[in-house]
Amino acid sequence: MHMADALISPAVGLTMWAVAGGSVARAVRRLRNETAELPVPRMGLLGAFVFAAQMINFSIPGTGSSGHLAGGLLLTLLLGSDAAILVMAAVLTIQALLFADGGLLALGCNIVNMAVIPSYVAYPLVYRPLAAFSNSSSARRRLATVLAAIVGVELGAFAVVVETLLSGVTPLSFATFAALMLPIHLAIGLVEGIATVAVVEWLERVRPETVREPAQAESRLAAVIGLAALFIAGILSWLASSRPDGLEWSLQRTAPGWEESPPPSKLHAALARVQQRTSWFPDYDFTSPGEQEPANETAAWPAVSLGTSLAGVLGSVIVLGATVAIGLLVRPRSRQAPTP
Amino acid sequence: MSQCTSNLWSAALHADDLARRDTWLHRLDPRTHVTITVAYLLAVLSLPLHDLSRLILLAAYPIWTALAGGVPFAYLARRVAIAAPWIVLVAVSWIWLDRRPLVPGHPWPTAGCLAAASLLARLALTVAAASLLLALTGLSGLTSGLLGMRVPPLCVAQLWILHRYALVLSDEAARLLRARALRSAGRRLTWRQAGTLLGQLCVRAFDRAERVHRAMEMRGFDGHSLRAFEICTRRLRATDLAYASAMILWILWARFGDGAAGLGRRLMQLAP
Amino acid sequence: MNAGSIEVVAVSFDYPDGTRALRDVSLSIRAGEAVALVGPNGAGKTTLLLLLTGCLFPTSGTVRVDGMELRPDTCTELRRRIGFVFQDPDDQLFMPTVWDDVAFGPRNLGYGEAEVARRVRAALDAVGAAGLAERPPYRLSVGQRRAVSLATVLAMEPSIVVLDEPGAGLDPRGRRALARILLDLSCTRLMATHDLDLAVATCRRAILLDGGTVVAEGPLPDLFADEALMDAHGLERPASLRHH
Repeated sequence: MHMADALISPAVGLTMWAVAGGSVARAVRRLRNETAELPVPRMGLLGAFVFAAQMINFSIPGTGSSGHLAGGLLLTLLLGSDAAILVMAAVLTIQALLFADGGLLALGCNIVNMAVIPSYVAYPLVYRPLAAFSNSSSARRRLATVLAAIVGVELGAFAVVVETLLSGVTPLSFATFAALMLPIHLAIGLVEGIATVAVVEWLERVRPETVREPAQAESRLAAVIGLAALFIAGILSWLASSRPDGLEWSLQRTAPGWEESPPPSKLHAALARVQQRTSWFPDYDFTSPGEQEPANETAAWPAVSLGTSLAGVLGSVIVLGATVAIGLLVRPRSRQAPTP
Repeated sequence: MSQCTSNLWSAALHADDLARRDTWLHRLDPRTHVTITVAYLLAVLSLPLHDLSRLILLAAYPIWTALAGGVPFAYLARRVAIAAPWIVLVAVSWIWLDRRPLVPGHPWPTAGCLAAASLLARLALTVAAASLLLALTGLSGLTSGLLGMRVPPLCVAQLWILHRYALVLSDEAARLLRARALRSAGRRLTWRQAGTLLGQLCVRAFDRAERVHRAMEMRGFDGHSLRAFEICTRRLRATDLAYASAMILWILWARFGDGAAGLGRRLMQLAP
Repeated sequence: MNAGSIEVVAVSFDYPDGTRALRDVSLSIRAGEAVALVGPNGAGKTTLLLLLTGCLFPTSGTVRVDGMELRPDTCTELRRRIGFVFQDPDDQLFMPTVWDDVAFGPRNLGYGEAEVARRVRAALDAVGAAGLAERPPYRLSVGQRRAVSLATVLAMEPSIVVLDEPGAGLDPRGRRALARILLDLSCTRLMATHDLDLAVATCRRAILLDGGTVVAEGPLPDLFADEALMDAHGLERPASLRHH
């Protein structure tokens, strides 16, 4: 579920960075204000645990595939949602930096999908209300945990779908993409829930003092605001997206008989003209598969000039060559790292 | 640490060695590299998907930085390969789903091919840029740079402790897994066993957290002041500003300018 | 001035689950002395060290450091005088570089960067690790990690250093290097160890703990030469004393 840089547009990436940054800032402020003693080592070590736990793959009952713990919900149950967000954000940052698992511009998306959603949305909106009525019944708490895990993972996967589509980098339609992602993540969420239950119950047996409901004033409002922020972020990045017609285009793509030419709308043509000015293959209408040679648009879209395109490639290759030459000149001599 | 045989870790530790090199690029402030990298990522990702030509031009940045910083291309290639699978899948879906010809009358290459090539180029460039950032600053340099960029010390403390103990706990996880593998005759973990295993690992994490907390307390950590984590030792110098501005100007030129294409056109006119 | 003296008077300690770890332990250590705490596993050595460093507090009896009683309200002050070197250096080295790790204590005490740098350099020099300052702790050998853990404590300039199994996991050369470092320190040293050779090489006196009580104490190496005593408490005469 880690998104890479290559699959997002700057508008989506920056918007999600803003949402993630806001959530992290809120978590830091609340922790500093409401916690007598910051559990710095415990947070760090549990982060390391989530990290190491992802090495442990196990079979998913009844499917024949295997999965591993993602950890967002477990951290929330053990540390409370504010600390959990910080820990998950740190885990995702380290994964992006050290292992190229998820990109830097995409880190905001990843923090939202895998930290903010489980901790600030799934936990207060699903787990708390369900578990609230069950002081003793562990079956009910198991159910609450599994459901919260599933909701968290599904919402995260849904966010991945929306963020990718808004970035306009996939030929898949919204419906196809969602139909691919959501059922898979239903299974993944189930595993997440079961693994979380298993770990929490093991801890309750051997270290009962470590598992206690984090006593913090959890505001339901925060979750609602979080959801609203996600929604607004989605709209904003849709408006600001470098491919403003991303959704429309992908919906159109999967409409029955998309290979036939749909009647081009005025708006569509205007957008295509904008597109044409910024795109490198200006003669190629990327946005409307059915309109390769519409008679009324020919004037606006000049005929193919392969020459222009080739000139661009040639010039780029020359600049590249010059850079390599200069780079080779300034390159440090020894290739070994110094050993102090 | 030696017991941890994971491929991923060895790549990460390699970056760590690279960051301890001493080239003029390494001597620049981490914030300089962060700024340039962000500008570069935005430039690459803001290109329309089919603009392959400018992507080729923008490849000059990682190549230049790798050469000047003495970062081996094998390191970059390895990291790109690690990040590749999912994007290759999306690239293949482009080839599969978009078979309109690029040039009318020629069925090949298709628009899907162009999109796929461009996606793979975006992948290579973005991962290379991020990997270079790490190789030029190192995790500790990068995070202390973040402190200088107003990231809360609580977050930086998280990153450090997490990074410090991720390897330690990965080793413990590897040992637990090996011990189980010796007794399980190759059967896969059931989720019940996994729960126990994860539980054991989690208990170890709690215990170690307890000891680390004690060690911190013994050295004056009061649980509230993060003074010892707020270290930003370096100051921005004129060379940092100069290099950052030069690189950002170049990136803007490569992203929006017409210079390279003009050069190409002139050359093509010279050709017979 | 006797900075660095420890006095333990009739101390007992029960863990919360009811296990009695220490029973009526009394001992005293003079300023500047080097003392080994030996005994079989489960004798209560680590518990005693945790009591001396204010990580735990006795169920009954008193611990006095420099004549001041160690209580929850005084432990913050007294911890500045006592350094504790943990058995596992990985518990003690939690910062990204050796320098930052050694600087952690002085920075927490609120010193300016100049004073911090002076202390870090002095501590690293004292353990012969000056060349490791920029390295991350996980790239160090066991011996180097042990030396750096000691430096993190020395940077606090304590009058007492307490060490838990300082020789664990070291090869003979690493152990000799550690013994040299420990001999050169001028502060009070108390080390819990199974490594009797290391104890003989670095300490003038030993306290033998078994079953939560002090069963013997005396000067080294004479104490360890008492074969009957050693056998009775599951210890072996150190190799260095065997061929007499």
